[in-house]
Amino acid sequence: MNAQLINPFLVAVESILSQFGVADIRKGAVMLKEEMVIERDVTAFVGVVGDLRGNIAYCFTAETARKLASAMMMGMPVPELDEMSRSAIAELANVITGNAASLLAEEQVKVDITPPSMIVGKDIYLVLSSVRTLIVTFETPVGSIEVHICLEV
Amino acid sequence: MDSRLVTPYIESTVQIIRQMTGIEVTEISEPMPGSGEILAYGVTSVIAFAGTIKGRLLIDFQPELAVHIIKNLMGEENPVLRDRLMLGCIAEMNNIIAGDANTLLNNEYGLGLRLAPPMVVTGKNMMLASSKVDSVTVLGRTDYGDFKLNIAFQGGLPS
Repeated sequence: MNAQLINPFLVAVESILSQFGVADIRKGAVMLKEEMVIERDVTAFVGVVGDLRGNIAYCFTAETARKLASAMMMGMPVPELDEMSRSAIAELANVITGNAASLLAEEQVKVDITPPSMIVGKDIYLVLSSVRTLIVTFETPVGSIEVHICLEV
Repeated sequence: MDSRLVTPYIESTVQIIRQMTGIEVTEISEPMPGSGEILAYGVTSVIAFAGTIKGRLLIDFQPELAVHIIKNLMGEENPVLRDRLMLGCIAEMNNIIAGDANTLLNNEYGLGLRLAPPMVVTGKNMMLASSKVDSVTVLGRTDYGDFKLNIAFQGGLPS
């Protein structure tokens, strides 16, 4: 994995979140892992096909997911994570990854993204792919967001 | 949803499970419209694909059935599910199932579908959701446990 291919995904997270009014985002810990146990409640992920092949997963706590969904729905209160707000979070994953795909296109890397899927539950053991996963944590005012980038290059 | 998009996945699931693990699917339901939200049995693999249309295949096994599949595939006596290698082998089988069906669809309708890497997840009380897609669910039964297929597509076949 090289930085040229990873960066668009990170840039997209910051630029899309700030469009929804989540400013002051700091990049936190970066880890490389072979497998993952997710302790967070909500995971949204999008597949990538084309010149790159992989999955990008975004993990949130339920609270962060609620706040993000609310930010996306014009500040509408989201007391619990219902179908509507889950769909907002899936859409967020879709928009971020889509934005990364167009940034990659500027670098002559052609990729297409698949529809977003979501996993909601506790103590989940997830294997994203047979290759190693790069995990970048973003600290935001609504809570931390883990971005798992797993690409076969 | 268009049955031409659904049947290849059902047929390839039954066939590949039989060929790779020797487990017979004894019962299989008719495709039923899904709600987009799936309460998982326990071991779930999701493979998304994109081409001229986009979609994804979800295969959800009861843990007992998943254990049996791993046993038959790897010759492992007491497989542990929360293990990268064991889950990887479920993912790989599902990759073959989806790849097989997609090749058929690509040849027949020129959809140019390409698979993202299979993802597999295990846990209790998981819920999986896909928004903005039409999905159908098919229930299957074997002597070792039940499984569920969920096939979702964004868009349909070109007329």
